Amino acid sequence: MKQPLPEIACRMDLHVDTLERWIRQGRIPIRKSGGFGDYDESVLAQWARKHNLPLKTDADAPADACLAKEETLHQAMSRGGVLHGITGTDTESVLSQLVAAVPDLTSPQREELLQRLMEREALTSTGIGKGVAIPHPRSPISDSPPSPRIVTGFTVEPVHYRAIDDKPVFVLFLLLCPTTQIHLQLLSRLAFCLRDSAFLTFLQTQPARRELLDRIAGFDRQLEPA
Amino acid sequence: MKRQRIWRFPAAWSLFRRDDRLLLILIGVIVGVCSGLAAVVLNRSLVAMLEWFHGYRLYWWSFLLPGAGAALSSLFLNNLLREGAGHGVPEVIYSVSRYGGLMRMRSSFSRLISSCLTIGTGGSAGPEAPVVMSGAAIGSNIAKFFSLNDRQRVTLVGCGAAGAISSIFNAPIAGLVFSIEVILGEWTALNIIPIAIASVAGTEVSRLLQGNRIPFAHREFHIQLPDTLATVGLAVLCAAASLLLTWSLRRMGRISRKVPAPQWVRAAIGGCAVGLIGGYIPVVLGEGYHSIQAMIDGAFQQGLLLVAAAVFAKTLATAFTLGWGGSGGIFAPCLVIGSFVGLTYHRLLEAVWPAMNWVNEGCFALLGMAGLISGMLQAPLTGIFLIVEITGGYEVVLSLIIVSAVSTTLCHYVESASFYMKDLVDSGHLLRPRTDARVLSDLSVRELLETDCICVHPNMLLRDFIDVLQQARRNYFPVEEEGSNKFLGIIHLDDIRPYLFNPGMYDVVLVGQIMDTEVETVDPQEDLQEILSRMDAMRLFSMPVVSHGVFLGMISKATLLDRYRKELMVQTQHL
Repeated sequence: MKQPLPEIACRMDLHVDTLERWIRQGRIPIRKSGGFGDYDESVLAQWARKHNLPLKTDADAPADACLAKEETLHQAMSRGGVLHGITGTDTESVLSQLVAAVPDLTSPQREELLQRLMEREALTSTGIGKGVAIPHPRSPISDSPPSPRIVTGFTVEPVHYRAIDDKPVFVLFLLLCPTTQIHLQLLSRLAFCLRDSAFLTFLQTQPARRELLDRIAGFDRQLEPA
Repeated sequence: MKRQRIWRFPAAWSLFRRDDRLLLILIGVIVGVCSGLAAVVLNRSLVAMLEWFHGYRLYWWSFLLPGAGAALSSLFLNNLLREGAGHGVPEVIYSVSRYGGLMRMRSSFSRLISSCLTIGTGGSAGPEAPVVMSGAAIGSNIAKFFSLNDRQRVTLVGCGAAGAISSIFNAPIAGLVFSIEVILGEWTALNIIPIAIASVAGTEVSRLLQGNRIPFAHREFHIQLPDTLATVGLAVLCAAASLLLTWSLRRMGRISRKVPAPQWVRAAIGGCAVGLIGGYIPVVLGEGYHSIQAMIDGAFQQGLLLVAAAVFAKTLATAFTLGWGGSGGIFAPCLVIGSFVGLTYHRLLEAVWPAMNWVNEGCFALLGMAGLISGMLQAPLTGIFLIVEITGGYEVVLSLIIVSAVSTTLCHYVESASFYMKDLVDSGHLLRPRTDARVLSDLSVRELLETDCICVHPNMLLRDFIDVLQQARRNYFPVEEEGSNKFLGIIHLDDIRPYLFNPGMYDVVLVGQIMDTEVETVDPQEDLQEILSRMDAMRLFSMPVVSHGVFLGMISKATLLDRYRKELMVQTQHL
């Protein structure tokens, strides 16, 4: 199999100079021909395993690229969807309706999620004030979907949620992420949006899915690194 | 790659791609045969030269002969072929350490001819080191011809050296052990097997062409416990003699460099001095194998004082030959001096305890050889196996081990590195596999560079800098001059932490005011060992790499550890 040297170096998480030197010194089972490395995939994989070095397969590569690029709120929210008309007066009933609205989950997963959410609420309330709550499990649930999702829920009546400012909650963002890292990224983005009082007023109008997502896309553009 | 030239690239054949052991063994045979042939050629021509000049030894001007030979060899080596001086083995070790065993084609015959001129005319030196260099160069060039990589080439260099030693002494195990212990310094199955095969090939060539004879055959020795105990004393004497030889070789080199004359004139002076010594004590001339045989047979008649004088005379003659620019190795002189030392010791013992029934003096001569070789080379195994093989005297192996071990250890107390490696160690060029120095010299600054630092300008406000800070992954921010990209200094997060939480300063402080300009920088060409010692001295964990005033990246101990570990894992486990 032939591949340009920089690509092989990237797959093995090495500097190109290091890779070239190893080839020259005969430490790695790759032959150099021009700017390409000529190798046998299984031999190289075996060698990498033996030397405890990473060898990313081509299938891993796109996932990594996706990690490198920050997840946007717009993507996560459109995946999670928007739920209007949540009824109920206590945390558990509100959360169970939200959990039921999360797409692509099996029923054991839903049960686990609800339980984990309640555990988190028992610790301290995720009502962050001004009528907003961001319920989330403390760590990713087992077999969580590979891409993060945020379910937005609007309650019919403001719910008493034991929020930090004791104000009843009218909007909830359920955060479900595969890794803690993505969780923190999305949380930080969401916090940025919620600092904007105009956005809070907008949320009180219980906007439709389309309008909400357009507004969020605007925030995403602001947060994009220059 | 053209179809018809595929035989030039055997490493690309599917048979050898997964595992090249078989390939190395096959090429090892070729290398062993070639270096064995080189050894036979040198041996034959030395014998012819010695016979040819034998008739002239009686004339008064015969002391000029070694001078002429040394001058010619120096002219040939330095002026005609432009190869550096030196006796060969250190050059091979150097090339293995630094250049993955790359050697020049001309090295494969240059030392053969020059040492033949030096020794054949009577210079006191050995033909082994030149043959080792030829064999190694043959191995290296065969590897180059087949486009093999560094690791394979180094193994073939070892094959060449082993084939040469095996062939010249008819001693396959000594060749194998010498090559691994002295030349490569790495005991792995991957090395040992091809080298062993090359040793066999080299020995077989020599046996086919010269017959299977043991170089220094001897009678059977009946060695007793007192003899074995007495060998400890011999070992001490051997260590002293090897230190004396090392010291005088180095001293002579220093003296000769002070003589304001061309190199060949110096070589001529040294050669004439040897000739003069040889006029009074003829045993010092040439490589001296005849006298070794005489001593082992117990046919050496001279008394204690004369033998002791011979030790010094041979040491002096060797120092004059090699220190003043003659060409040759120290192997054979070591053997001669060793047997003289053994003989001296035996005579001493007989004088002190005449009642004891000591073993034949030939046995002590043999043990002395092992002591000297082990002491000079600081390679006990080479000493033991070489002597066992070239004398066929397995019954003395216990004493041999004692002499070799004690002599090596004592010499190591005084000289931290062997004669071959002393200069390499001093100049930091001895890089044995799997050592810290090896790993550090393989890694380069470029491979360790962390380039994900964000550069800032000195005119940036602290407020803007804090925006940069949010996106950064590192704690260091190089400051560059706007426009010219000249490196001005660096901002370390730890140094400016107090300002970060004081919003009042955001709009009044400029980056140029808070940067550190007195920063230690690294040049990308710099040696990693040097950089690390600087880091240790100044208790730094990272340093900016700056080339011609332009910032390239950071180098840090954290990344270094990561790369170092990978490198070590790859170097310690082979394919």
